[in-house]
Formats: sequence, structure tokens, C-alpha cells
Amino acid sequence: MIRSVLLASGLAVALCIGGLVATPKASADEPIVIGQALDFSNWMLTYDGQPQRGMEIAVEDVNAGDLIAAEELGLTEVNEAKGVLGGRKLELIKCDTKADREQGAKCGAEMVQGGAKFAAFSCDYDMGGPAALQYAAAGIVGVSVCGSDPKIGVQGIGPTIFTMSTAANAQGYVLAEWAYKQKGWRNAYSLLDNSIEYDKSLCIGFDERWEEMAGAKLLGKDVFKQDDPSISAQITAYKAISPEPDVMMICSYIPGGASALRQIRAAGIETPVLTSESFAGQFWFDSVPGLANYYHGTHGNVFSPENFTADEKEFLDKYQAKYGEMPPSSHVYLGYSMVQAYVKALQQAGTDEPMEIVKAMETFNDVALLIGPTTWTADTHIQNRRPWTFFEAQGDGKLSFIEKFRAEKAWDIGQLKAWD
Amino acid sequence: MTFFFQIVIDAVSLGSLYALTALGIGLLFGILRLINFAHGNFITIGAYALIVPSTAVVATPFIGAWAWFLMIPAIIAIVIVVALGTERIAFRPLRGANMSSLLIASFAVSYVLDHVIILIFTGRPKAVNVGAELARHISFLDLRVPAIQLVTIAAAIILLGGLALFLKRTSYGIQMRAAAEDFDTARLLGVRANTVIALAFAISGLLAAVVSLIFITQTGILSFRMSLNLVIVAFISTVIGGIGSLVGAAAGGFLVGVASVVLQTVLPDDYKLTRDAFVFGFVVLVLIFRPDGLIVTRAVRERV
Repeated sequence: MIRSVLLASGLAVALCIGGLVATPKASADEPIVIGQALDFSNWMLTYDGQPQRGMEIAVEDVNAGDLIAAEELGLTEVNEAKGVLGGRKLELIKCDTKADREQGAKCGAEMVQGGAKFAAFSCDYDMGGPAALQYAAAGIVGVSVCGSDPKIGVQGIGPTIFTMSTAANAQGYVLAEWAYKQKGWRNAYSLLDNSIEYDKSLCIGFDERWEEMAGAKLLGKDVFKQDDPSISAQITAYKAISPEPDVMMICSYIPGGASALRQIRAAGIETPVLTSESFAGQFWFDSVPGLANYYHGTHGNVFSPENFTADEKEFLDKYQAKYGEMPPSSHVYLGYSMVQAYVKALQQAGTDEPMEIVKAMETFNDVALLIGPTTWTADTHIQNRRPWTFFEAQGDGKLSFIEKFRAEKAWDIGQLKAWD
Repeated sequence: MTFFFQIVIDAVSLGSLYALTALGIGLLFGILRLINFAHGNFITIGAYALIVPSTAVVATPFIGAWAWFLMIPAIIAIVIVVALGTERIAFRPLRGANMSSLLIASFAVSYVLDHVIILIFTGRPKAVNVGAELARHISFLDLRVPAIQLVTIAAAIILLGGLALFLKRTSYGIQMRAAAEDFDTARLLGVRANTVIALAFAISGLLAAVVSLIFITQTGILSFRMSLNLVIVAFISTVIGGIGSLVGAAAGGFLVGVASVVLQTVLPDDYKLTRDAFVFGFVVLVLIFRPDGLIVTRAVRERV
């Protein structure tokens, strides 16, 4: 009995797949479906939520003929036709992964079955991987909205997988160069929260680049865990370091990173602290009262209105009109840029066939998306030298724009192969 | 020497925090044979209660903005009500069920409470600055110690002492101990099950509320997973201490805390990444030499 049920369901699945394959070529007025297998409700929402909204706005813009930076991107005809490939609308389909790996795999399959040939997945290799594997197996294009682990891509998941973000190691590079060149710091200390791959790659990148530069010394490093209730032992050890380091690089994320920083400042340690995108904005600043000497590098600027570019301003006006608030982090630009990239690749390829889209995306060379210049090559499906936006907080409870800064040295994904 | 004392205080205060959490879990286990994984949710709810009703990305504390002598009782009361509520709704209908059913029920309760938090506050962590004065360091002699560490140690001593007195000297305490030893006989002798069990839940709620206030003062940030690690460590502590023994649970928590801090300090850099492997290796060692834990209770022996 069980066997016959299995057989029957197997047949049914086969028929369904057959049905999908046998579907005649989409007609010119059928919408182009974009999948979103993202976390809409659980802890990854901190990272997935904003790009998800960015994608929503971009899709609306394409369909309304109002895509930002269309002219610079050579996409004026998309705005004129109010759609891609001669007027086809974009349509989003969604599935909540709930930051759960199994649910992620289901969502990935759901996107494929829903007819998406281009789909987004979560911000992290561990959490986004299961959906990405489904995309890779089905041969559709999968793009992580902000995953920064270099294993997301050709080497780690498959040839149709990309990420919008900058490799964590490359983030370490740009932070190290900025601290060295722009602040003139020479003695550093790094504190690693080793609970996720991103943090490890970030600190590896920072330490490596720091020690390459003339006269720069790494006076010490230590580790803690995201959910350690106390890092008092690390603080005690830090205080014993002499001379006091010029800068403390913290490779962690919120909430654990905020908790660590609260304890560090409460201990009277006022060393300048440097963090990267995973400290996502300023919404957690109440955790560290009077936070000063805090330097933060991330994708872009959503905090300092006086420094917005014209494109950023246009986007943020749309965001405010739609959601009634300002976005809490610049990850929002990544979602918009992902749709811009897809539209550009569609126009360039003249088709929505995934392998053609991949080829088109691999020709991107400093394409000026909303998030900044974007480059993908045949073996590097992640950014390794996109300019990074630097902010500081000096006790006023907010991030103030300092500058955009581009590292001189690009991180080479070849090093990833060496680890395998 | 200063360095040494600094480490001792770090170790004792982390040990105290773990001990307080383990005590809450050990207490319920002693009486109900319930390994209550929802204990972590009690801690989380106590912390989130500080910002209710604000659900904004940058939350405005409500109870968290009250003076400490109002805030502390309010949080304790809320957590006790939640603890009693879970007892009444989820665990009372399962009275007499075997241990594994109870364990699974506690997972279910934990899952539900997690998702209530997610539903109301979303998965995004929220900052809350409570007790910033306590988080700051105070100096005496050459030592610089965060006041919260001293408060943690004091809270552990007071609550342990208070609980011991309650269990030894009061009629309810004696009934609870009797129930922990042999529930059926205790009932035959007139101990009222509902009262004793509700009392145990209320006390575990009280302990959870204290842990949650200490924890949030230390970390300043809310997330629905904030107490997961604490509760796992506390569970392991009750195993080391000897399941069913309150003194054992506290001692176990204390030992794990001290071991974590000492290992964090003495391990060479390359091994620090694997600190927890050493901590749990130490747990395994303890269990090899004392398979029933440090303090063996009659209740456990009979059941093995």
C-alpha cells in the first residue's frame, strides 16, 4: 500500500515537473517572476528585511517606469516601456524561511516551482545556503541579498549563484586600510566572535591586511561567543596589554556585539572601536549609553541626509513614502541594486534564460548600481573592492558620515580555493 | 596579583549567574521531574517586559524607565505570572505523565513563547539601557570591578540562602522537600500537590526574573534567543551538580562559570576558539568520576 502511494506520488511529481518543462515559452506580456526566499519573521530579519523592502520598491519602480539611475545604467528603454524586455512586468513571489535551514530548502524549491528564474536568498551562507542549493540544482540564478561569506558563489554553491555583498575578507581589508591611512593608527587589537563564518572571515581579512602594512602591529587578539553572557575575562586580558592599542576591531554582530561593546565601554576602555556592516546601523545604540570613539564601515549611507547622493535621496524618499520611516540600515540599497542588476542583465542578454543572465552579470565591471560600483567575473561572484562608507559616533547617539573609501588592494578569491 | 583577583571576581560572578539559572531549573526538576527548557523564555520575557508596550525598532522602555524599587518587583511579578500561567495551561494537564512527555511539553511551551515574542517584537534585537550605573566599573584597591558583578554575586548568595531557609524552616518549604523526595507519599501525608507545584513555579519565576534583570543590565540588548545559551549551560550544570539536588545545581552552575572564565584566561590564543570544548570536556570528566553528579539524591537513584 505504502509503496503504491509512493509510486503514485512519485508519478505525480514527475508529471508536475514534466508539465513545468513542457510549458511553452513565456509570451511577451507574461510577467517575469523574481523569487524571495528570505526571513520575514525570525532573527535574520535584521539583515534580510531591508533588502527585501528594497526589492519591493525596485519592482514597483520598474513596473511604473521610474527606475532610479536608468540613464547611467543604459536602461532608459525600460522606463519608457514600463517593463523589461519590451514591456514585461516584474512580479515578486515570497516565502518566509524563518531563519530555518529546512524551511529555507522548502522555500527555495517553492521559488523554482513558482516559475522564478532569478531569486533572492538569505544574507548568510549558513542560513541562505539551503535555498541557494535548490536554485543551483534547478539551474536558476540565485543572488544572496547581503551574504558576505565568499563561499557564496561559484566555488561554494554553484555557477549560477551570486551575492550582492562585499566579501567579509575584503571588508576586513578596507577597514584595515582606512584605519591605517585615514586615521593613522598603527597598533591594533582584534576581538572575534567566532560563532559565524562571516565574523571569522572579517577578522582574518583585517588581521592579514593590517600586518602587511609598514609599521602596523597587531598587539593582541581574543575571541568570545555571540551569546556569552559576560566578556569580563577578555576585558581583564585587554587591560593587561601595553601599550594601549590605537584601535580595537570587533568582528561580531548584533545582539552579541552590542553587549560586548557595552561591557567594554562600561569597563572604562575608551579605545576607538571599528566595526563592519554586521553592526547594522544605530538602532542598538541605547545599549551603549554615550557611545563615542566608534567607527563603522558599511555598504552605504542612510544616516546622514546632508551627504546623500541624488540617487540615494530619490530612493529614500520613495522608501519613506511607502513605509513611513527611514530604513534602519543601508542593506536596503542591496535589494534595490539586485533588481537593477537583474534588469540590466535581462536587457543585455535579451532573454530571461538563466545561463544567459549569468553570462551578462559576469561582464559587469564597476556598474554604478545604487549600492555602488559592482563587478562580477567568471570566478568572483562577490564584491572584493567596492567602496565602503565610513561613519563615526561621538557621544551624540547617532552615526555621522565621514567618507566613502576604496581599498587599494582587492581581496583575491583565489585564497578561498587554498582553504578547500 | 591584581590580575589574579580580577579573574577570580570575573569567574565568581559568571558562576553566580549560571548558578541562579541552574537553581531555577533544578528546583522544578526536583519536584516535578520536569526539565523546563521554557525557563529560558521566562528570562527572556522578564527582559522584554521592560519595553512593553513599545514595539518600535528603537524601543522606549516603559517599566524599564521606572525607579528600581518599582521596576524590580514589577518584572518579578510579571515573570511569576507567566511561570504560573505555563504551569496551569501546559504542565498541570500533564501531571503524572512520564519525564519525556514533560520534556517535550516544555519544548513546546518554549517554542510558543519564542514565537509570541517574535510576533509582537519581530526577530530584530532591541536595545534597552537599564541599570547603566551598575554596568559601570567601581574601583577599590587596585581592582576595577563592574558593580553588576558584585550585585550578581550578592544576589546569588541572598537567593541561595533565602531559598535554603525557606526550604528548611517553613512549612511550605518542608512540604516541597517532601514532594521532591517522594511525591506520592507526600500527597498521602496531606501535602497539596497544586499548591506545592505552583509555589515551585513561582519561585523559579522569581529566579528567572532576577537573572533576566542582571543579564539585561550586563548586555543592554534584547533578542528572543538571548537566554538560549544560559539555559543550556544551566541544564548541564544541574546534570553535573546531581539532578534533583538544589545545592548540586547551584554548585554545578558555579563550577561551569568558573571553568569558562579560567579557560578563557589560561588557554593559548589558538585554543581559545575551542574553549567550550574544554569546558564540556571537563563536564565529561566530572561525570566519569561521579556519574550521578556531585551530589546524589535519593530520588534519582531510585529511578535509575
